Amino acid sequence: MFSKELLKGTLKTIILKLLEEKGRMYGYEITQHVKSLSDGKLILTEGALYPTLHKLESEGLLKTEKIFLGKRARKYYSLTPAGNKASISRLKEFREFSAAMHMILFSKTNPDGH
Amino acid sequence: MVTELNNQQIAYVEDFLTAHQLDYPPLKEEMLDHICCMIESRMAEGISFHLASKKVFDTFGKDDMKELQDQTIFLLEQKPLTMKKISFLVLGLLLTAFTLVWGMKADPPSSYPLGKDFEVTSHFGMRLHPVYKKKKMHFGIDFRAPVGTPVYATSDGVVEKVAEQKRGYGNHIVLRHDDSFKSLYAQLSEIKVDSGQSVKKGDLIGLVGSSGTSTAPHLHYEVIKDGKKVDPVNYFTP
Ligand SMILES: [Zn+2]
Repeated sequence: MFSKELLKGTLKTIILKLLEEKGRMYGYEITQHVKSLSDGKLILTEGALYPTLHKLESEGLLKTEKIFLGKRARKYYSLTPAGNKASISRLKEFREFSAAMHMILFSKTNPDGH
Repeated sequence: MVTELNNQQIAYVEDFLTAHQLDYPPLKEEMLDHICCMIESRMAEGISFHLASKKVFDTFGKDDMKELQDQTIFLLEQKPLTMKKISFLVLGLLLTAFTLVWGMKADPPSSYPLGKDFEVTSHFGMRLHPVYKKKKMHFGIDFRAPVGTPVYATSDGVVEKVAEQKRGYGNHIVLRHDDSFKSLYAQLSEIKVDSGQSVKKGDLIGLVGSSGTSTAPHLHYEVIKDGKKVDPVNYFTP
C-alpha cells in the first residue's frame, strides 16, 4: 500500500490515462482496474475516486453518460478533447518528475579514483 | 456466472446509503451502483446476498459516506486557479529553483593552498616518477614545504572525503565546492577537518607531511572539474 499523499497527486493522472486507454469506464470498474494493474498494491478507495471524478468532470476534462439497468443507473466517464490533451501533458509531466525524483533520491556521486 | 441484484436487494442497499447521510443525488446514484457491484462480486464467490452485503457494508466506516460527499462538494465549489495565481505560483517555483542552483555555485578553487611562498617542485603533466622511476602522468601540483606547514581550503565547500592511508596519496582530503569543482590535498601529516564539514576559502584544513608514496615533505594538490583532473595553475588568481 502507498501513502495517501503520494496517491493524491497522481490520482488525476491515473484516471485520465486509464480513460485514454479504455475509452469509457464507470467508477467501480476503475477501482478494479487499478487494483489488478498494480497487483493489489494500489487500492483506490471510493472516498478518493469519486470526488476526483466529479472534479475532473466539472473542469471539463471528462464527460459522462448514464445507462439505466432497472433501478440502477450506471455512470460512464470518458475523456473530452481537453481531457485527452490533459492526459498526454500530465503523463509527460509525471515522467519528468519521476526521473528527477529518481536522480535526487537514488544517485550516488562517483568516488574519486586514485 | 454473473449475479445481478434484484430490486428488493437494491432497495436494501439504498437504505444503507440513506442511513449514512448520503443525500447528494448524483453521488448517491453512483454509489448505489458501486456498492451493488461490490456485493455482486462477493456473491460471485458463492456467498449469500445477506452475508455479502454485510461484508461490504463493514468495509465502510460510520462517517465514510458523509466524508466522501463533503469532499466531492468541497472540490466542486473550489474555484479554479486564476491565471494571476498561476503566474505567481510559477514565479515562486522559478525563484526557489534559482536559489537552489545559486546555492551550489561556488568560485572555482582559486587560491594557493599554502599561500604563495612555496616552491613548485612538480607541475601537472607527464614526468619521471621520483619513486617508481617511470614516466607517469602527474595529475596535480607539488609544493615543497616543511612538515607542519598549514594547508588552506582554496574555495568554499564541503569536506567530501577524509582518508588516512600509508600509500599513494597518504592522508588526504577532498573538498566539494559546487556541482562541478572539487579539490584534493594529499601527503598530509595531519587532517584538521571532518567529513561533511563546511569550510570557507582560506580555512585551515590540514598540515603538510609525507604520509604516502613520497620522498620528501610536500603538498600534492589537485583540482577536479566534472570528474576530470585539470591543471590547478589555470585556476589560481594572482
Ligand atoms: Zn604530486
